[in-house]
Amino acid sequence: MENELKLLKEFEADSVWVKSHKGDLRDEYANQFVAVRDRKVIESDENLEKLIDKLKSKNIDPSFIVIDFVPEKDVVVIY
Amino acid sequence: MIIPLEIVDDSIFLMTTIHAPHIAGRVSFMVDTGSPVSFIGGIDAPKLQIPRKIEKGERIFWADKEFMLGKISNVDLWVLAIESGKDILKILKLPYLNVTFDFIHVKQKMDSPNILGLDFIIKQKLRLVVDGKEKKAYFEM
Repeated sequence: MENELKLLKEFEADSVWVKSHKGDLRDEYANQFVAVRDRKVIESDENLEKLIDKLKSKNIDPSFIVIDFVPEKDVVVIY
Repeated sequence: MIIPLEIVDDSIFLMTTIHAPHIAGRVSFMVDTGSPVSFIGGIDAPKLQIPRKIEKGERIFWADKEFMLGKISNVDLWVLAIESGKDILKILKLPYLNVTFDFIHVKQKMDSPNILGLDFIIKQKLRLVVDGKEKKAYFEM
């Protein structure tokens, strides 16, 4: 259980990091999907399915890491 | 017992580990009390390798886009909770969870967050507390 809590906190840190750094990430990754682990972009692609395949080819399970989209512009979407 | 939430860019998020038959992974949900339904969005559905031939649900309009929703059954959400000052793992059981089916937002290169709507808060009998002064948010059980 302690290990699951630790992994969940690490996922939380990565998720918060990518959401709060989209402005910085835009220079390099605009209009791309990014995979993030340990507060670093470990893979990216304009196509989500290709990004997932890239991760799998590196033996990284995409299900357990943060994947997010970096919009070209800083758009506020009202949900 | 409280379940801490994260406030990022003026939105509220709950981090979870999701377990359902043949599905497991970690998902960040945006808490959206304006949404009557909860669902996994068009980025995390393929990330979790949820099959597209899932049970078809309803169509909804959300963020001005039409969605086809599917359903996955018997979902457990594992979340970090705090009880008597100690971190614990709390398992929230859901009979089903909606999933975006058409992946419309992804095709349009838009962000596609996972949503925890008011249905989740009511069914789980949670109290949402948002402290704008301290910029903190949490669920109370």
